[in-house]
Amino acid sequence: MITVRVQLDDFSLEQEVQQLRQRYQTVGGIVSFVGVVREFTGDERVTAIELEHYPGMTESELQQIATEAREQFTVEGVTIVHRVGRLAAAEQIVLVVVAAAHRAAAFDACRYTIDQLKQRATLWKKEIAADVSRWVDHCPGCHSATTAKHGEWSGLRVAVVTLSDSRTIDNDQSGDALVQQLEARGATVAYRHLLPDDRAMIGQLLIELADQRRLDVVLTSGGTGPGPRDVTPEATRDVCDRELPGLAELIRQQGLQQVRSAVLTRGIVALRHQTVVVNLPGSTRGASHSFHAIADLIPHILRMARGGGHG
Amino acid sequence: MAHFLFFARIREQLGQATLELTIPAQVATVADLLLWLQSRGEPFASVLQDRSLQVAVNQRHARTDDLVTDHDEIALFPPVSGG
Repeated sequence: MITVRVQLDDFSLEQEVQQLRQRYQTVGGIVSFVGVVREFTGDERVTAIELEHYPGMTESELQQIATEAREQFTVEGVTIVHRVGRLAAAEQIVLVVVAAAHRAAAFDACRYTIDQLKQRATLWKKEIAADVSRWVDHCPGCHSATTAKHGEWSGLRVAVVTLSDSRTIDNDQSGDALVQQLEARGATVAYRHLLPDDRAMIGQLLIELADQRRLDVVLTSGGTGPGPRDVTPEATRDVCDRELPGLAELIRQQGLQQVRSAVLTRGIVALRHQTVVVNLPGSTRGASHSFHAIADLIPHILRMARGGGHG
Repeated sequence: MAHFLFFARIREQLGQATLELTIPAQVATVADLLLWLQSRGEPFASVLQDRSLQVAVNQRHARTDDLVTDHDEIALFPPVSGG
């Protein structure tokens, strides 16, 4: 369950926690974060702040962040409450509550949610001191919204290819999940296809996507396990020039935090000319988690593959 | 007509929260739009020079090469600072 509210009134941590507990009676833990108005910034005594938001956009951004947190970490409920209007020093500003089966996921998801909120959500704070007031133009450690990592995907052209002997495009849930995440990051899904686990056909398609269609990224889903029909890594290796083993290891390492069998995925990440091919597992959750694990590094790889530096 | 929204410091500096304007056909991208607005004189000319200025088109964060049309909702604002 995702709950998102932007409101003038104060909120009650206890009430929000209670609601999640009633809804999820079997969760193992609940982690919360409460932000309060700081009385001092530097030497100056702040008596109040004024918070402004973009009605409509702010709510949908918070909804998006909560959805990402739920997809990326194995958590059940995410609640975000953000206050706006005039708030006195020491009043509560923001609340994040996460309910999950396990504590590690709950802590991670709570941290992710508040960090992303500070970086991306369209909220602006004005500090009011004894005789001056001024807009807070940035918070330490926060990027401006357009340089946040989700923005770097905008403009990229991506293919989503599912490898399965049993699925059809109509019940391709891992493919659907990847398309949704790509669109949320602003990327263009320029091609979508479902193929059987056939090494030659997969290789042929990768060549077409890289050489003719010149796509930036190809995400494959499925065919990475130890089964005899699982040939996606071999097909990818057949047609790619250079592997990026660190990324595949990062995917497995992050997957291990969710489920032990994540280390059984043999997926690789590799370049064919200037196209990055990423092998993701076939399960919906596995594909989503794996994509999240390396998504911020892909635009960087593309810049470097085109001869650009770190930047 | 495009619907413009201004927030926080940008709203105060421009002295208005909303504005309806017809965007001329030669304006294709966010970058074009900012230049065109600046060419309309003060206070836009100086306020929009701000390099930290952010733009959203139809309630999504936009970059300078994103496209705009005359039917869009376009918001201009400073870097966000919630939480």
